[in-house]
Amino acid sequence: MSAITIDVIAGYLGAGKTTLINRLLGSDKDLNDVYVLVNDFGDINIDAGLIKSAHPAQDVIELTNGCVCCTVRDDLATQLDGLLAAQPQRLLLEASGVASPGKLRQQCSYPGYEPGPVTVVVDTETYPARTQDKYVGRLVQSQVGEADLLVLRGAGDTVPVAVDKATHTYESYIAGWPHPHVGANLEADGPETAFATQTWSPERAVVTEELSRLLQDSRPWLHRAKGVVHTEQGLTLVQLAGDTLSLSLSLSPTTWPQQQPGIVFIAPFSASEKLSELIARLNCPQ
Amino acid sequence: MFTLFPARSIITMNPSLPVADTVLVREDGRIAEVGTRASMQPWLEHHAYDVDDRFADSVICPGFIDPHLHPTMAAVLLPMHFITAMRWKLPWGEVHPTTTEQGFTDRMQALHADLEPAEPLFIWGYHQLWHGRMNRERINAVSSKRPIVVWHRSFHELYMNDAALEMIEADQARSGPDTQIDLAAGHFYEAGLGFAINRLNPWILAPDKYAAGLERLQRVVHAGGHTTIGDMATGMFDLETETRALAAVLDGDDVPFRTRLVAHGLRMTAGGRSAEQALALADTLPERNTHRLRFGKFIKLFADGAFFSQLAQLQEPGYIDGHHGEWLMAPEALEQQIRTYWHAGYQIHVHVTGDLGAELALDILQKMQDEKPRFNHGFTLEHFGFSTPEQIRRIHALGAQVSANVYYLHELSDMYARQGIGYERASQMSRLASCFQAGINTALHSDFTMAPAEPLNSAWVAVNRINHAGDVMGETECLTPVQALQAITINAAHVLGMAEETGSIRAGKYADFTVLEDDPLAEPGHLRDIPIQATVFEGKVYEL
Repeated sequence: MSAITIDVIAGYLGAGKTTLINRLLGSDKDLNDVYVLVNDFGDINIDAGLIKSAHPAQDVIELTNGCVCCTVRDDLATQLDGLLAAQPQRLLLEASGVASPGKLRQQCSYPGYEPGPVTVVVDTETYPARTQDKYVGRLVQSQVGEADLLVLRGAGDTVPVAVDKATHTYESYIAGWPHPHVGANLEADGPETAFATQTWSPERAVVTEELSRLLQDSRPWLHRAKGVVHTEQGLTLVQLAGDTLSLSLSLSPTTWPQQQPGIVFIAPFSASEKLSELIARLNCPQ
Repeated sequence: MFTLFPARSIITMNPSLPVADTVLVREDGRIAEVGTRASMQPWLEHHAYDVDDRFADSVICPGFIDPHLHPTMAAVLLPMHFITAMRWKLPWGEVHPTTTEQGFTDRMQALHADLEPAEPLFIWGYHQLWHGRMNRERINAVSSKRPIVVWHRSFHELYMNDAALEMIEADQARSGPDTQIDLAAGHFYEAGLGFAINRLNPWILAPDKYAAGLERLQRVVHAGGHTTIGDMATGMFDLETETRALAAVLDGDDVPFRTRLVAHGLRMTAGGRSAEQALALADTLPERNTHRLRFGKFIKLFADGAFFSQLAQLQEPGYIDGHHGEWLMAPEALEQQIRTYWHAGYQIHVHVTGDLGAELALDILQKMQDEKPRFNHGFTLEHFGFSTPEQIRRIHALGAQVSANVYYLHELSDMYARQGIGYERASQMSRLASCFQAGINTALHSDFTMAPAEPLNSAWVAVNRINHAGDVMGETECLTPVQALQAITINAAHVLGMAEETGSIRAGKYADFTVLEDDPLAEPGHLRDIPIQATVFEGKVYEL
């Protein structure tokens, strides 16, 4: 019997874990014999027509597409032990909002199982403020830091720093499920389903002409860039998206009160190497 | 027939009459009068009475109260054999400290020699700091044929020999740092423990073993001199089976104590129940009440991780190695639950181990007071491992109370001073004298089985603040003997909402006494060694 893979969906409270699971359950993906363990049935939006049978006493709902939903019990180890008999094809686990990916990987190494990629869902709109929270600031950052994949919810204007981490939208994650691309071996043809992000934190003031030239040269493959850097003209807001590249003087340092100077770059995963080269050249201008 | 109890001295914990030498008890177990034989003449002239003079040379205190322990955990642990670095006074035999590697091995041999041949041997109390390295080979040397399981004192790891591994069919497990199982060493830890426990459940949770464990717990509670205890997480394993088991063992007419049951808040919301649904369920619990087992408007919630595992959440400067503590609930979720119970008029108990955990609880309490001011709300910080002096003021200002596990200081302050926390903060854990100075109602508890269920032992730690290495830690926070006694009697009664009926010796309260052979106020250094002669529960004597 080979080990059953557990895909872990982690991320802080309200990040959007349940939304991701809802979308997956409502998608046309093959969920036959997939067990989905969720924190709370109440949040799960299962179309009544999809429900085959519900056993509320055992906290189990079977869907017509063959998927089985259960609520996560406090004692996960016992629950996993009990599920072995059912020999699920795969398991999807919605983690608690305060769990860390490292510990989750260990819990999912229960005999008979192996941890799949740990996906951390991030609400990009609330994430920056959360990182400054005196109670959970370190936790949310370490969740992102320990993730295998990120799923970003929100406008994505402020992308959390994540070097060498595959970054998805809900759509791209579900499109790629059960193997959303984590590694470097992306097929060149076919839809881009993953992005790479890197943050560049300059150590000294930047020359605007040099920066502008490098960014223009990267337009063909670079998806987005946004940030604030010190230039010879002062604090400068840099934005590249779609057809627009703009460098504008930011009038007051309070525009980005909680940000370290830096630019976040987003590129398709296939262009990861080009992205690294760009960063290297920004650090060592000719 | 009334009963007159003369004593060498009665420490009443009633500030209006701190010391007496005679107490008169009515047939229904209520105290009629406290004073001297002469002062209670009006009662004695009016009612027939017997003199019970078996305590004439003893010191009578109010019945001890531990407001925070776990009967169901104890039921699992007590059937095991203890080999521990600290002393544990158990009714079926005192466990003397074993503090060396060889000593531990010798004890294992002795237990193996004494036990029936087919019985698996479960041992608890191992710690590498005293007992050397543990592994399968070392246990095999004692016996490889009898299944032997050695539990780490923290309860987060265990070791097995060949026979035990076979018993649980461990070959289905896989060794590795990812599984946290090491089959070669017979070692299961953290996440890997889940597998071992699931496989061991048929033995450790067998109904007859569990019932026997609860019987042992009853004896331990009596032997510690308790007449009231608090189960501070009813429903930890399963609400129905637990309440049934508790009713079977802790409710009879011959049980010498009463139990306040406080529901485990996280179990109430299990399976996705909303906070409102949990509240509705909690509201029904008092319908099950009996004379000795009582729910009330109390609920237990949790902030940060276990103190013993260094998972407490700390304010700056944090842990020496930079590791993070853990949250047992997301702060927003804790706030939402507290809000629901606060507005319903409940007394809320929050497990807080680190000073950042305490800060969160206090921030939430401040918000609650801003939303709906309450007096006498009884919000309690449970355990209270690390705190800051600034928090003492906030606790007082917000009207909260403290129920502290001061035993942490005895067993852990030495190790934590050297690893993880550092001397300054380790020596100031359990900031209790400051609590008393600020007028905060402060009680002591054991969190049994985390510490011995011996209020005199807890009081001894609070007064002397000596750790196992013999060092005094944070001297300015030592309690006086009177304060320590308050903390295990009247203050604890207030924490459990039972101060109207117990916790001190005065007319009208139940005759709940703990009878000591020596005066606890005379020799504070020997508090924990004072023999307990008997307890009296609602007027009935239970000898020890």
